[in-house]
Amino acid sequence: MNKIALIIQREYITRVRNKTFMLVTLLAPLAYGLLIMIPVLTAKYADSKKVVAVVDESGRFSSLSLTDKDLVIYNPHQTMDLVKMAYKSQDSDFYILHIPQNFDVYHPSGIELLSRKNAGVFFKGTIDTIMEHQIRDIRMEAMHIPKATIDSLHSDIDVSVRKITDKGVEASSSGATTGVAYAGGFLIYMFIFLYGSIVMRGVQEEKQSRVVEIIISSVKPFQLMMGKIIGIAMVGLTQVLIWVLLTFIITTIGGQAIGAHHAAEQMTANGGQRMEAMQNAMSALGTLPVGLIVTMFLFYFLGGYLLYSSMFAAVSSAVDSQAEVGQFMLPISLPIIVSIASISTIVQNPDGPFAFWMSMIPVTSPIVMMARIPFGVPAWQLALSMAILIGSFIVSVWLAGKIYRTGILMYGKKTSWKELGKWLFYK
Amino acid sequence: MSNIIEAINISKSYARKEALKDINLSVPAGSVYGLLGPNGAGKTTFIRILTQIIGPDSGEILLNGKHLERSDIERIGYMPEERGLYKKMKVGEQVEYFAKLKGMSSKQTTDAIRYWFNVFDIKDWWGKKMDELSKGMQQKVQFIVTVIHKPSLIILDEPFSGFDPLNAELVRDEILKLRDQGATIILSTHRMESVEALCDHIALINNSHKVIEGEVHDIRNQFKENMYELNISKDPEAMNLGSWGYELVSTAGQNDKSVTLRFMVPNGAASNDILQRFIPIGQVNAFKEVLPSINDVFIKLVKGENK
Repeated sequence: MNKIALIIQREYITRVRNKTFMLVTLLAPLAYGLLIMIPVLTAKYADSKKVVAVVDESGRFSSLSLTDKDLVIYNPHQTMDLVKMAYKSQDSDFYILHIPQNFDVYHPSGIELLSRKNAGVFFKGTIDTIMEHQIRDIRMEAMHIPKATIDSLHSDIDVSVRKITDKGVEASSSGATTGVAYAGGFLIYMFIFLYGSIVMRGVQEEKQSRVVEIIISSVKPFQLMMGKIIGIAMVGLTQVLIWVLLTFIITTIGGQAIGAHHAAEQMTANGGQRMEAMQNAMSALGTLPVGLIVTMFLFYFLGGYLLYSSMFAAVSSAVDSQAEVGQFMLPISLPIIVSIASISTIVQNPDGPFAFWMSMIPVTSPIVMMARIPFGVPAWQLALSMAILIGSFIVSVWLAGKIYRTGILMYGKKTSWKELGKWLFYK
Repeated sequence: MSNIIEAINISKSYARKEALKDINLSVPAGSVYGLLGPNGAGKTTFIRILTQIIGPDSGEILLNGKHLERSDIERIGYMPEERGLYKKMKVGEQVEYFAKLKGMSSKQTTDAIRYWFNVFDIKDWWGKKMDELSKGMQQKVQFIVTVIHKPSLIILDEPFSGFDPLNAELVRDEILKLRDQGATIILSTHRMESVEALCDHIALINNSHKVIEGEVHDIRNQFKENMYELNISKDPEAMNLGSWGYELVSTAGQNDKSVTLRFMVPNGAASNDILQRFIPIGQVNAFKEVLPSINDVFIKLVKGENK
């Protein structure tokens, strides 16, 4: 068998067979799935109905009452003391909304929400909104605007974003696009660091255990380095594939639970709108160029990984212990950190000059380009960026090979950047 | 005897240091060849050039008269000074991996592993991880990895360092067995006394230069100082070595019955003539010429060089 294939095989099999690998591979999507499911499940099962008793000492809020699926607001028309006494026998989801006697709708202050436990920020927000509407209605009534007119003024707007393509006008969602942009960039960032550091540890392990000299008396150092990089890339692809599959399965099962939840929610007026927005986002996701995104993801994952892992391999070969890698790690990983930090700017102006240049420079392009693709990138830019990345990783792998072959045989010497530069020219 | 390795004018420099300068060596096929010299003399550099881990700056290596090729590494077995194997890998898989890296087929690998695991009596270790083994056990695996592919040239850098006496003995026996089967063995060490008895040929390297090369016996003879050792049942006071022109170097093991003398015969003489001078004096129990050890030769040569 070809020697580089043997090395790839060893790197792949020893890692994939590793118990930690199996555990992480299987548990990560489960954890991810749970992360998605928890809010849904807690909303569905854990959240009991909240009851708010209104003590309106000002007497201005007679119409304040609401019966919703998970919120009941009522006015028992009792004094604060009596309500407080009743409150003692209630469970913890009981709230008292206290409106003081001298409450002024034009200078609204002094409204209190009392409860045994802290009211959550979302629940407080809900009460804030309800009170704002109430006060607005009272003010309008004071201007002698009839209730019917006030109601007729209210409207719910959700602008539907559409994209003009060659095929016509398609549904779109800026939220979904931005989400995919972030997700794509972040996944590349995560994978480069994750698998890059595996390469780094692998090189260090071979150097520290001194096995490396035996191996390079059988294969060229470059073959060993490439075998390791490719083998670990395959481990990464395997892991990603399993994650995608498992996530798909888990979210499908989870989706049914969400679906049931939303069916119930649709009964209420608010829920209906939320459901619609969700459906819009879902259908917009469908119109994103999924095939292109997945293909480009694989390309930029591999390209970025090859570029960075070869650099990681080179610096790891040059030092004696994992701890010493630090001095070289920061300058190398700075571009990755810059690119992940710049995504928020990129998604606001995905076609601007900053986005353009960041997606051309090979050390930032894998992450930045993934953030641009969902918004649509001209074919020539994509092709140019890919060509630059391919060229760059070939150069970086070649240079890394030169440093690596000298570095792995160097022990007990503090290596400097200058030293690394010299190694490039050794025969 | 033809030479398996011919090194012609090999030079190699690192950034700040000249590691080898115009080294010429000939390693006879089927010999145990000692590459001797102090630490930092350039031995490991020379070995790394032989194993093609690094290339020389100038000069050429011939293997069986032909320029050393990349594919030749499959005919070389190398045990580096710094030992090491994959700690988390199982013994069997590890040996298999290295055998295949040396170009062996699966079938050949299986047969070879069976043979060597029998020789070293480690059949039960197949599924054990390296770091579960004791150091001595690891060394056995290390040796197997070096020779599993039946190399015609075996290079052992500091072969006995780290081996306990029992394993060192085992390895020594296997080295000789491999030589008898036709392999050539290059031993590199700075502990000259440890390999002197094992080597047929040696080269002494000091300060990136070759100091001397040749058959062990020839070299020792070449540097002999007409030193003799004699055990005789007689009081040394009663013997007047000076009057014969001999120089007494040392006396040892003196008791009522006998004494061992070491002396030099500066102008040389036939050993029978020397012996005949002692026979009338007392009972001669032992008599032999003392040749300098390789270590002595080395010290003498290096001192001469430094003068």
